[in-house]
Amino acid sequence: MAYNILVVDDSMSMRAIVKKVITMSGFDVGEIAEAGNGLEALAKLEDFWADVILTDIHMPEMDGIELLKKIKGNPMTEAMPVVMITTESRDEVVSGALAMGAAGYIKKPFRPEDIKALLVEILGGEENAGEDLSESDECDF
Amino acid sequence: MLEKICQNLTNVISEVLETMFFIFLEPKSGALPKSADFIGAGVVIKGSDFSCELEFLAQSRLLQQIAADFMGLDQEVVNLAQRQDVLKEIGNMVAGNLVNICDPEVRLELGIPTVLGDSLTAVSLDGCVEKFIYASDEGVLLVGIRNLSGTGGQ
Repeated sequence: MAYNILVVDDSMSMRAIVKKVITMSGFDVGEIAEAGNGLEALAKLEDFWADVILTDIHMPEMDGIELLKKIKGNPMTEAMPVVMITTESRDEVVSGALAMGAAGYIKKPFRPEDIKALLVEILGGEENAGEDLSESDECDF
Repeated sequence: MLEKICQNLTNVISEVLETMFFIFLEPKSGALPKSADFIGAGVVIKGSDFSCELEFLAQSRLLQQIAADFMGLDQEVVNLAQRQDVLKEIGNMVAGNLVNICDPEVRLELGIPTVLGDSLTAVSLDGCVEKFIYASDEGVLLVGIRNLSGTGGQ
């Protein structure tokens, strides 16, 4: 099964590195779509099924917390797992996002294996993934 | 708060740059280097008692290398927007991690990173209350803290 993934971040460089890590994680990836903020992500989700959504929190137009609320409040998208990738790690914000239905949390700066570990957890185990990124020379940013 | 930010800045910059960008920067003292080659980005940290802007000035060649490595591009094709984007993301990560350490009670709010100046205007840290210099083989990163609260950050 090929997994579709949506990466939401206002930084094009961050979207690029997250896409690179996903591609190299060894999962059978279908399409990796991108959005620059929450509003763009919601527009994309009108005709795109995401098996996982990876989103930043601090973004212009619509932030990641508001995006999470909209996704979880819509019967068409509520089943999509949403992972927050952000610099924000204060307890109140993290626990708030998890209480709202976030499937996981990755703190920036991150290592490639952090993203792979969370994808394994969400997408169903090591058998769906490939090489160990922590031992790969090619996984450097 | 200003003091806390200054105390933690070097460790946070090292963590962000080393973990995410594989760049090892060393703190330096002395006069700020003057160069027309700097690109600038800023992040506002806003609270009821204390507000400041963290300003980041990096040599273009340093950002060119980071962007190329980070985005998987040849250095020659890295454009200005990509260099600015990388510096904004560095600023975002540094400011975010500083706030996590210095403000666990969530009294401070982090702004969206912005580009400072434009391609025709030289950026500088004039007016910043604190200034820091970090150097690596690839180039120099300057960090300034501009106090926006008018209270001295107490």
